[in-house]
Amino acid sequence: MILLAAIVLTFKVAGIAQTDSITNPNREFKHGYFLRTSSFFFSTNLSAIWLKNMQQFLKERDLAKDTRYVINIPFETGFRFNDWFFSLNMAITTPFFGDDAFNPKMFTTTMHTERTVFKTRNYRFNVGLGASLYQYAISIQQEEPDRQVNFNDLLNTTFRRTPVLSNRGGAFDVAVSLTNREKRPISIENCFRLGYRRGFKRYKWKSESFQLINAPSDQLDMIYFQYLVSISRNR
Amino acid sequence: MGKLSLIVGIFLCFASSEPVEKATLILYRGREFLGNAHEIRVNDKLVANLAANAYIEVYVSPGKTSIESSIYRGSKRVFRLVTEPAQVYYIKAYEEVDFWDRYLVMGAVDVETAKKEMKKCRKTEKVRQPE
Repeated sequence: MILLAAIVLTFKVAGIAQTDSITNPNREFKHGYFLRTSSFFFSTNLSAIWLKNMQQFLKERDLAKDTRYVINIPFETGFRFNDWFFSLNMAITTPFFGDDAFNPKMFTTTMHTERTVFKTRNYRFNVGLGASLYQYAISIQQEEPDRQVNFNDLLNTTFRRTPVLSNRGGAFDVAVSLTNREKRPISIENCFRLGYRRGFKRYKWKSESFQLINAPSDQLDMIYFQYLVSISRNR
Repeated sequence: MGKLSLIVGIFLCFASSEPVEKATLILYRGREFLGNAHEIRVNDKLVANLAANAYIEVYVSPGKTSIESSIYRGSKRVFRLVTEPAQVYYIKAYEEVDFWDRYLVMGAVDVETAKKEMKKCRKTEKVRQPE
């Protein structure tokens, strides 16, 4: 009877200990640093951008059909302290994206702070706040297939192409992300992030070639999705 | 008469010997975020697909027992135990997801903890008993 009680007690204690080890990772890493990016050719920073005045202007003149979507290559580096992530994220437009007539290019730099609000053995669900600097630039090329241009006159000829127009400014950034939990001293994780950026204020469209008078101003509205592969060093 | 006595004797002999009671294995998984179903093999026989927030009940002959879990693009994991007749064993499983791999982590759990955790688990009906 005593032996049975001892076995039951041992099993109970062992059982409880094992339950914890089953639900939680084998080792808790308190802090670490990480590098994140996506594939260069299969970029996964997809954005939908609203800069209403310019988009309306282009639509009215039938210059561009849809100017909202941009695909970027994201890079990110930062560190984690317990459930807090601090990171610097940069995203540039891939050179393989965009049609010839309308070339949207976007560059963003974002300082992010994320906090894990829910975590399981395998995942962290984070919410984040940040501030971004952005530059969204377009240039429109209208094709002239019937026009003939002498090669020697190439540099003296004007073409139907607008100078680069850009909207540059700062924006708030809120995001939610889902990442794998770090389980090894050097760990590879998936990171999915869905975010929203809103310009601090309206910023005027500018051209670097000359002073643009009566240019419209736009406040950025942007939704983005990022898939990043993260390599982290944890302690 | 002698033959008849022998037959009756054999019959009584078999009738009086009690069948060996089987042990019960209850394998369960609690609520898991994005948990996938894993194939469960008991003593090398496929018994069920165990999803998150579900449990299976399997009856096995007492002795050495192995519970193997596997999933597509994941690795196999085996949990071994020695079972006693008419005993009930609670085994908790949880999916481990890594960038390269995924598998079930299994461990024995005491009755009270298991019953508490299993309250909201649904029973998996499609279970093929190994024997």
